Amino acid sequence: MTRGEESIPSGQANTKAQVTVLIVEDHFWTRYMAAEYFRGSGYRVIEANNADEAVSVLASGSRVHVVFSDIGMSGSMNGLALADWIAQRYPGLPVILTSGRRPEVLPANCRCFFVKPCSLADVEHEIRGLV
Amino acid sequence: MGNAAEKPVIMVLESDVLVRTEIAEFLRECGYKVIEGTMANDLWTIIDAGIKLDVVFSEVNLPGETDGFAMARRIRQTYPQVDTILTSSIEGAADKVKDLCDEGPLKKPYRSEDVAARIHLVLERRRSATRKAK
Repeated sequence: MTRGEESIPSGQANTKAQVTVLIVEDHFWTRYMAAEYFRGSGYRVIEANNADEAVSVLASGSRVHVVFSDIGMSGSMNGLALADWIAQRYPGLPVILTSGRRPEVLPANCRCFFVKPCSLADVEHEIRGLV
Repeated sequence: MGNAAEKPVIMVLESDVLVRTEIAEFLRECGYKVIEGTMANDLWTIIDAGIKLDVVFSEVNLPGETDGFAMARRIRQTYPQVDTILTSSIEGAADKVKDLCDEGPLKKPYRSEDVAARIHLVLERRRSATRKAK
């Protein structure tokens, strides 16, 4: 699968400040720590409390280059369903998933999976390779 | 504004992701450090973790057990070093909030510039009170 065409309309982002990470996580402290880490690393971060909020953000036309999402969340969709929704509407947008347990099957647009608790440095390394 | 360690810290509490993201990004561009939350519990988590906080900018109508009014009351009683600015689209909220924050709530929909101006005002007032106390 090619990537980037839809999520980066004006071409590849060339600095971290231009790279937007959408974090989808319903546990406040976990989301806060990840958002702080990525902002501190120079990324623009959008925080969504669940998959429904992530859908609102993406549907609003916000420029997002990578989605980092929990799987088990409250709301109408979990992270796997969110990844499927993204695959249909934004096929070029890479998704990184995280959860306490690795699911048997991961969506095709899931570039990487991290077992919780995961190292944010490792996630950031992965993001850097994707964008 | 000075280095990152000296940036005033604003916590934005708002359950609508698009509203929250817009004001949070605007305030970051103004030079503030911004923590985003959706309910009062998120604020207590930050305070309990010992994270420095200067201003809470919160919607009155929050999900969870504690609404913005009750939260502002508890902040004023327990954490007097933190200023609260409330916002609401509900008519009549101004009367209810009079004793909780000095200027009354910002009426929604607000202009981001007005929020930044209000935050600047409470921070200046706090600085001036601190200077006088010294």
